[in-house]
Amino acid sequence: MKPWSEIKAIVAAALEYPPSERTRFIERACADDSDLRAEVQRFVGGESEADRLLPSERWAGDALRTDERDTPAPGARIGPYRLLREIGHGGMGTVYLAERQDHEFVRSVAVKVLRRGTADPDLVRRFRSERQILAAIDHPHIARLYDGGSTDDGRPFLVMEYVDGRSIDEYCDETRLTIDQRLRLFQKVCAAVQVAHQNFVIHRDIKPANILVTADGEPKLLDFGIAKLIGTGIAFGAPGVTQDGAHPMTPEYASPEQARGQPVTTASDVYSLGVVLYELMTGHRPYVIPECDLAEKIRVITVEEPPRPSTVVGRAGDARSPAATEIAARRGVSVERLRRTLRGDLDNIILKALHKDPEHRYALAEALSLDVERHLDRRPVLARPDTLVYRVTRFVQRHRTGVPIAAVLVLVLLGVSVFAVRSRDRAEREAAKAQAINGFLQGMLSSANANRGGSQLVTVREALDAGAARAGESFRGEPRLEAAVRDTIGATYVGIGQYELAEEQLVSARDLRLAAVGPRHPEVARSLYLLGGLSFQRGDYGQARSRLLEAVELQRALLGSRHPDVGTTLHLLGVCAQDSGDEASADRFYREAIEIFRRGPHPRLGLALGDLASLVQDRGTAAEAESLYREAVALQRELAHPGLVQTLDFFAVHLVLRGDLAEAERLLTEEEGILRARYATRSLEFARFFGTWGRLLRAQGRLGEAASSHRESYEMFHAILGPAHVETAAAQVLYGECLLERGDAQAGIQLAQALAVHLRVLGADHPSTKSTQALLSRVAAAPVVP
Amino acid sequence: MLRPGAERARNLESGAAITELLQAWHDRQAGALERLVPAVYAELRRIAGAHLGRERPNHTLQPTALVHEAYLRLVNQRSLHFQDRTHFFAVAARLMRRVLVDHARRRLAARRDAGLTVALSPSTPARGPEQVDLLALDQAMNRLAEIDPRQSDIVELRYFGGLSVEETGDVLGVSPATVKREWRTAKLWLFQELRTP
Repeated sequence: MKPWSEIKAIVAAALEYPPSERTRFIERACADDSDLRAEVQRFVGGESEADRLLPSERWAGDALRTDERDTPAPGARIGPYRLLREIGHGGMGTVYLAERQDHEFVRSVAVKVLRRGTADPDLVRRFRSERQILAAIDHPHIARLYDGGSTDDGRPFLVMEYVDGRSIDEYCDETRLTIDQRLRLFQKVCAAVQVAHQNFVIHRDIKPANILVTADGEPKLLDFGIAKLIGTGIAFGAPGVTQDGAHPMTPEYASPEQARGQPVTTASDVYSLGVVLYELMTGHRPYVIPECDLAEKIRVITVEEPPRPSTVVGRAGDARSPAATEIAARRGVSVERLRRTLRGDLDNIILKALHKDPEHRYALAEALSLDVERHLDRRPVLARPDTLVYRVTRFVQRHRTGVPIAAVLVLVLLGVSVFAVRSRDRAEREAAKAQAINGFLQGMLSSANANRGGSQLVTVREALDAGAARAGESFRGEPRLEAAVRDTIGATYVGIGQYELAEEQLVSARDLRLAAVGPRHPEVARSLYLLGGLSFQRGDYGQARSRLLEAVELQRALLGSRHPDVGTTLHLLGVCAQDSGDEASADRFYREAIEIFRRGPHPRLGLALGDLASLVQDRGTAAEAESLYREAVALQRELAHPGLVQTLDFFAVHLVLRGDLAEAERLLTEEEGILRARYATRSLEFARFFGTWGRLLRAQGRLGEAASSHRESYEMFHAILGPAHVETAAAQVLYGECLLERGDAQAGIQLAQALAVHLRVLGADHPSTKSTQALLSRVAAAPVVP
Repeated sequence: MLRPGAERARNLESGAAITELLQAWHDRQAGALERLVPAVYAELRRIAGAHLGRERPNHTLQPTALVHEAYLRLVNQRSLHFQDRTHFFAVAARLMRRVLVDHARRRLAARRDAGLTVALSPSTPARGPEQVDLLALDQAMNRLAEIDPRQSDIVELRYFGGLSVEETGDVLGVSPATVKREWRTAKLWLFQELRTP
């Protein structure tokens, strides 16, 4: 036989030809060597079978996968149950209709035989301990769980009430239920979920396939509590979550917290109910979850906003969903009618259930059901669209690449909320205007999205540019509205560091106002305030102070000295004074602001208290700092205020410095929980957190871990803000200091780099520069382990 | 239970350690590979185990995800050079082959044992004709390695490691076109080996 290398060359060349021409080529190439020709023919002839056996896009592990699916056949017995026929086959295993015969009494049951290795070996033990709880749920719309155990060959099985029905989506479509009938049916499902929740059982895997409707139109929920029992529904592979034994839950119905592998609550079931309702109403699912890419799956679930249900009606169906007219016909209406039915209340109800943040969802299945009830009774529902503030903040969080988020939060939240509050104070007309602005900005965000083909991320910058270009046209003849929009755009430009563009927007807003309402008007004061904020961000403390003082004077004269707007301006004056080193003024401004905020109480009270605490802490009045922090944390916790993260972090640093490490650890754990729920893993908030966490570890004497944490912090700052930013340098100093303590030779390099930034940005006289210099001189003196 | 923060700090440590080991291996330090292998092997086993547990056909794994996932978990990629990455892939693909073949072997043994005591009979094995027998494939690849080691490497990297054509080319220092050609013909050779027992 010829050597493979020789055969291979001809085989490879033959494969370059289309199949019909190969034989001719092979004959020519092998000339009169018939043995070689036969060999080559044999290899080439196996091509399609070889491709089936080893497809290019497959992974070897796939060969092991389906292999596990061997299942018991009908007729087999498991304990006292005889399997009659297979009625389902899912991710966990196979479900059989079975019967149990004892004392001449035959009972039909469903037996679910789990795949080998599906659950951990403790299943039976856990089943025993959970059975009490599961047995306590006695509800006509929940299928009972009777029994469980393991087969002789170690496969776990569960015995449940047998339900003869169809999945709720099929049932609704086949019996052509109207929207109102679907809602009534859905309410029964909610009632069942509510009862389970009252028994401390969370379903974790609610989906149409688990909601069967019997012939008499009654829904039954299957598999309550099963997910927890066998370890599904925990996560479907969120990075960092241990996956051994855990199984994919259905991603289409998984809540963001489940996708992230975070603790599941009753609100997670509310979310899944929301997906089911979305589907029952529109015939579409809220998202298209990509098949393969895990990270992308998680991104879609945790980040992508579902379109309003009414807007997907009439959308061209994909391969899986029927045409729009068919979807509408199954609900007994026209496409247009269906769209109008959903628009408004039902949109709001569904989106509230689908909120990314569990705290913004209905807390209970019953609350969701009650809102549906209100809609059916034509009473006002509780669900409201997200406020603009919330949407803008979330938008920026999502597209945060390089966005100093704190700045955006301070400016945007503040700016827009002041506007929103004011418009609420006034008449309906003002509310309508606010609505117009809201619509414009949402349109701006989504049009920038659409330009990028939907799935790609839009940068904040693109959205803002689009908005800035459109604002003049959209609000022709409405200068005050245009000014409000330009304020928001400008403030967001500040957030992403585009100061020139920000100035352009804020100045044009101010000019519009001067022309429309004259110089002595609260809206002009607002412009001054925002321009002051811009100067502050740029580091021009002198200009910031004079603009803000002008603003506060105007506000005091026009609104009274106790008006909340006066408080917010004073607060920013305080921040500005603190950063420029004028501690006496900062103290005064903060205290005045706090006094005003306390009357409200104003949502910013917590932030102001935290800022004052950080000021007095530097001066060594620890007891006062601590009580201020405590008050700030308590307030912000109550409001779930976004500033809580910052306050917890400040407070933890304070406690570490004071040596109260246990308390610091508790606060940081709380902070981490919030960050994991709401922020991107690579964000400034996380970078700061890692820094503080490093301080704690270092104080606990865990130097190795501390160095890792500081390094993580520094590298994250470096990646987001670049090497020349003061905050990056500050993190680098902490890292270097930690290395120094370990006797690591790297310390000198880190500290020297940081010092260079300090010298360039802050100057030689700044206290931070001096302390870094002092550290560096310790490196020279320290006995360094090479 | 371990606090999440503590666990994270530890992961950071081990990530840094693996980066250092890779660096050491790259610098041809004695013993580096021996120290590197167990950590990577353990991680791959964990990942493979998780993926093997999934049954729904529409959840078929994107093959490239595997070794990348291991890589991301183990290595702090910011501090690693491109060259280290391809080295890692080469090691990981070899280990993944070992993980999967061991898995297949264990399963075979378990099935033999179970054959004596099985209560749920008759059972219907669902392996279709397209499923390759990994144990036989592994042996065939060993034979291929004797006559054409590069082809055997390519199958290992592509099919076991889940690497793309381009990545495979990077690891072996050959062009994507070469990888494609060799992969095509290697499959034909292996198929002939597997059909004739």
